[in-house]
Amino acid sequence: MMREKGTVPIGAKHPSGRSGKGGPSPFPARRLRPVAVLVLLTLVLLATAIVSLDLGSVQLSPRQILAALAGQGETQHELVILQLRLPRLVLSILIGVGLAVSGVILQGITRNDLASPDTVGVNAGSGLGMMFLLVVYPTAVAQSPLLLPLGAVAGAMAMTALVFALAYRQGSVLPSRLLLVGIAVGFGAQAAMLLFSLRMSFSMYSYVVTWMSGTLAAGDWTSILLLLPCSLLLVPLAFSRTRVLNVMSLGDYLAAGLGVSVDRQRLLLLGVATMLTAPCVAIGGHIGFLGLAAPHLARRMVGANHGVLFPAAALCGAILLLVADSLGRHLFAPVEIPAGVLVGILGGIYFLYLLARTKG
Amino acid sequence: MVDLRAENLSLAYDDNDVIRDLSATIPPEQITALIGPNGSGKSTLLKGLARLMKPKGGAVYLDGQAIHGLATREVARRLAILPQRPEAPDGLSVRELVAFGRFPHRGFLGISTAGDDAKIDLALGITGMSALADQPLGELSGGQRQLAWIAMALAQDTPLLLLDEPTTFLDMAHQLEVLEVLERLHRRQQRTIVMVLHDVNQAARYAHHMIALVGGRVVCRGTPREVLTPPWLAKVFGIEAEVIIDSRTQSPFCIPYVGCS
Repeated sequence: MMREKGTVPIGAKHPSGRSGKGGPSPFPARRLRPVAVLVLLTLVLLATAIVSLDLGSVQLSPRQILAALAGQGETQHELVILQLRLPRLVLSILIGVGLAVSGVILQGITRNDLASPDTVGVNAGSGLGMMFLLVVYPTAVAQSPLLLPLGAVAGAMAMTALVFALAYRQGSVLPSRLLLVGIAVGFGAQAAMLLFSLRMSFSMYSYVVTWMSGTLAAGDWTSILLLLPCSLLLVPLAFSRTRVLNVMSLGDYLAAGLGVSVDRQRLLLLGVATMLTAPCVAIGGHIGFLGLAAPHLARRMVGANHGVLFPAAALCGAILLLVADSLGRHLFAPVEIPAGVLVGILGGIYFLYLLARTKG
Repeated sequence: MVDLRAENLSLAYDDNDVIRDLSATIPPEQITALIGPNGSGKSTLLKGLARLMKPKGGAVYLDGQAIHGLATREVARRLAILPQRPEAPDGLSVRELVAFGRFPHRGFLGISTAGDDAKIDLALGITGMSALADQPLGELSGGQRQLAWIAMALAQDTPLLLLDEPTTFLDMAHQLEVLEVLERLHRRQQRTIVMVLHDVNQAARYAHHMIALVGGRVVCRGTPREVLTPPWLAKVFGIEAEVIIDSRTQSPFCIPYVGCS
């Protein structure tokens, strides 16, 4: 087929022969220099963080914020900054990074841009774990608040194990099967959660609904202490799999031919993604879409090389959640919109924009 | 010298037996062509030989060791395989693709050495892709793309090279270009090459050894002149054919007339 210059409509499908990946990219990505993008994203994150510290009912000058951060401000300012705004800031970044990194992992091991912690059932699993505890052991939960995050982690791992076991056939796990089983099991878990919620008291139900909408309002230094070790351990572990994920993007046969033990690596990476997502969900609730949108955005900016995709997606995730949380706190203050809801709205608009561009 | 052989090998997808109790030895430092009708198990056998499929019975031996007992990485240093219609992520350049071939040779940190770069340059040179090294793969023609994939397998720098239908979907000029590259490779570096080929005439012209499969079993093997004969063509492909010797290449050439099944 002859293809002359100028005859391809703008935004037409790029003839790159790629398929089976959640759809071809709608238009040839304008690739920027990866390092420049990373620097830019870091600056954006810093700027967002500063604005986020400044937003709130108590108006503070930059000097007052700095003084409070250094522990030399007025007591009330220090309370606002150190106990309210800073923990939320740190939490937004940790959860944003965690969800984005596990999104990159899941999209990498399934070779499908539509994979995310939502679509392989990790989110649903941790939700189910928490609901189970709340309904079956309400008194125990009330006595020790640590139990709920543990329940979420256990639920997520059980769900991932189930998904993996169902997707396992003839000594290997097909990426497409993993995704389909994940979606099916996720729906099942949501149905089970609905059943559980019917048996709840009204106050408990409203607690659960608040949690599911994805809010960081309850964020404090304790939750950061829970989350930080996981992030410090698992994010570097994920980054260390960069080259393996790059080779796996060529497909199972080629990856195996190049010396990657595909199934073992896929299991390991799935475990990392699960362990990374579960505490994020336990603390921040159901912040859907972030694990899908952040890797997607990053890939459009820096391409598919995981060496830059990982940090770029992590930064995108942190920025997105920070913006969503800050906006949610501020837009209709004193009423707060959960960050999860705002991420969903922002992400939805972004994907609609992509859809509109692809029509050409 | 490398030694690759299958002993009583059986391969199956789910419960669908494809290769049944097959034994074959790949002659070292030669080009071997696997031929046979559709569904005869050529590609499956190639996957089995490359350790991409677990045998249902029997075993494949690489240098005398059962290939499934070897580490994946160890196999990748001795044997490269290029499956049918490989796909790469968007935006990858030819050089980036070829660099993947060095993966099994790199250490824990994956730092690329001058030796790696030399192997990549060599692979690009022998496939004639040096000038296109910085082009995105998606902007190449089908033939160039296939050569880029072959360059990746070459950069793996293995004594054994397995290719699954490297010429399918290419026009005639590109088919010849790919096969010439493989022949040059054999001539210059004495690599052992095993390839699945659809076109028996191409197989006869470029291979030293042919293995014909029907229904997952080897029905005949030997030099092109031994295999490409009217009785064997009738038995393997179910066709009535005349075989002549091409005066220019001195290889047998078949002209099929009717299906005789």
